[in-house]
Amino acid sequence: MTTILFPDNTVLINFALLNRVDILDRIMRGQGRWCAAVSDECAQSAKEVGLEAMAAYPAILGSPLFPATPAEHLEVRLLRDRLVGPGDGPTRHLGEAETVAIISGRQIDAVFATDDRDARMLADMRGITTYTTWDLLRLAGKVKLVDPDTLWGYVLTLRARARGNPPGVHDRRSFDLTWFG
Amino acid sequence: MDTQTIGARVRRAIADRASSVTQYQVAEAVGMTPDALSRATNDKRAFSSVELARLADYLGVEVHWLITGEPDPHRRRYAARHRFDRDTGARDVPGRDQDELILADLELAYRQAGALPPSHDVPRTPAEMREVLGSGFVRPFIDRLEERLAVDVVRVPDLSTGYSFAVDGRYVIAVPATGNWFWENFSLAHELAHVAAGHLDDEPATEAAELAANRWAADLLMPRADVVAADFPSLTVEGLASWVWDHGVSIDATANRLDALGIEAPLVLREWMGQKTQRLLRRHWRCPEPGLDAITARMDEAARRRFPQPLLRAHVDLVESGAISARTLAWMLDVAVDELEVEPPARPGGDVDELAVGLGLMPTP
Repeated sequence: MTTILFPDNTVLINFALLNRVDILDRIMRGQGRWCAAVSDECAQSAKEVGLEAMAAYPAILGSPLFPATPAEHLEVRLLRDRLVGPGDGPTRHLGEAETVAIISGRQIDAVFATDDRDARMLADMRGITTYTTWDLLRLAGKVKLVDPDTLWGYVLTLRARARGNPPGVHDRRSFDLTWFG
Repeated sequence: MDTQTIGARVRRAIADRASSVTQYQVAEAVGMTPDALSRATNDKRAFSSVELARLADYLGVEVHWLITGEPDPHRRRYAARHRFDRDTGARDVPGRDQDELILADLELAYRQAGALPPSHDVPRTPAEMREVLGSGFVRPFIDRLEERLAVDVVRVPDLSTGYSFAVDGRYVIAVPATGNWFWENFSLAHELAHVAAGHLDDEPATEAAELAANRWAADLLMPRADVVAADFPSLTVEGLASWVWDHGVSIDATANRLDALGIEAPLVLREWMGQKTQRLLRRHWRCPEPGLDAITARMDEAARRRFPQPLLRAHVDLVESGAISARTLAWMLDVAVDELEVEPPARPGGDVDELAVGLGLMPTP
């Protein structure tokens, strides 16, 4: 049985920051999909300096899925309400909300890759399995798309760019133990 | 014009916006190509949720209306305490645009909390309100409102004035955290007047509604019987200080109340009019408890950020269950999210090996 993977923009940005969009492409193996809101966020991010590699995603992820009915749009708004906080602009968190609404509403057999803790919680409550950028990088290491030394370099790069830190990893030793032990 | 579909409603909103705006300009403003917008408004292509949000923002309509054709049932309706310009006689809310952002955050906090119990029936007259709130209500004013009427009071910095609104039958009064307790008391009373009179649906507030709310507030805080009993014509400066302290009102509010009751302001009041109420208190009010700086304590209390307990409790429960983000709770408590002592449940992510198998990167074990 094949799995469909929906990444959100946090994950797309991370692979672009590493300039390794090709890794995500090889992980997804044509089974990546995205929603229109994520596609839109990606297009906006691709205009930023250092994220030009994101321009490759439309060719990888194909035509985005759009909310098809008013009910689906209302569901997106409802889910977004659970994710937003004071001061958020009108489009904040729509990518995650739209993805969760479409996967759960259409009962797509898919997983969701996002680094947003609240979005992971929301997806989990809807029965959607979630993964993070770290999970996908670890997977790339497991199936030998990337060697451990290079992966460790990616961890350091993302950490330096304030993109978070893999759970349980604080140095190279703990990285080797956690990811390859 | 037909507004049966989302596309048709967007078309209608563009037409209503202004004749000077072309579809091309709208497309450019919301980040769509003219072709995509044209196809979407003709129902040949769907809208993304981001596109709808941007269109609603740009066209000045509700997203809910674009989606359903119906007004948003959660649309905020509120009344505001207007500033009175003595020179021009004008009443307005100069900080309204900035306040709108804070009110939107408050609205979000209530929406995320889900339905809280509705407020009790709000008495329509000041006398009935005093009866419900009980004697000496002005010092624990906020507590009495919440305990006896289930009317919530939020106090936050940066608001320019007092507001009242309703969320699913629960009334909320929002006041700025200024430390100015007599202004706050009058704002609470003023907003209660709007609630009691059902003014929350009137937008913009009329001059008559504002004046009526001020009269109602003055009557609530300074009932005629109290004014008469105070014997203003023979009031000393110490007596005036005790009056403003006990009733939680300012010197000017007192003068206005006497004027409204047709009582001539005594010399001591005329001398102090236009001066700071705190100055009068610090010079002439004697705290019954020696050594206690009750004035500073009262000011400090009125400067503190506060949110109603039922709202906070609802957020704590929902955050703990993982149903909503902790960010609004952190905002209400004015702490960083990571500093919150409220933990959402640990949610294990997916198994990486299973994903590898599912994606065909590893053989099924």
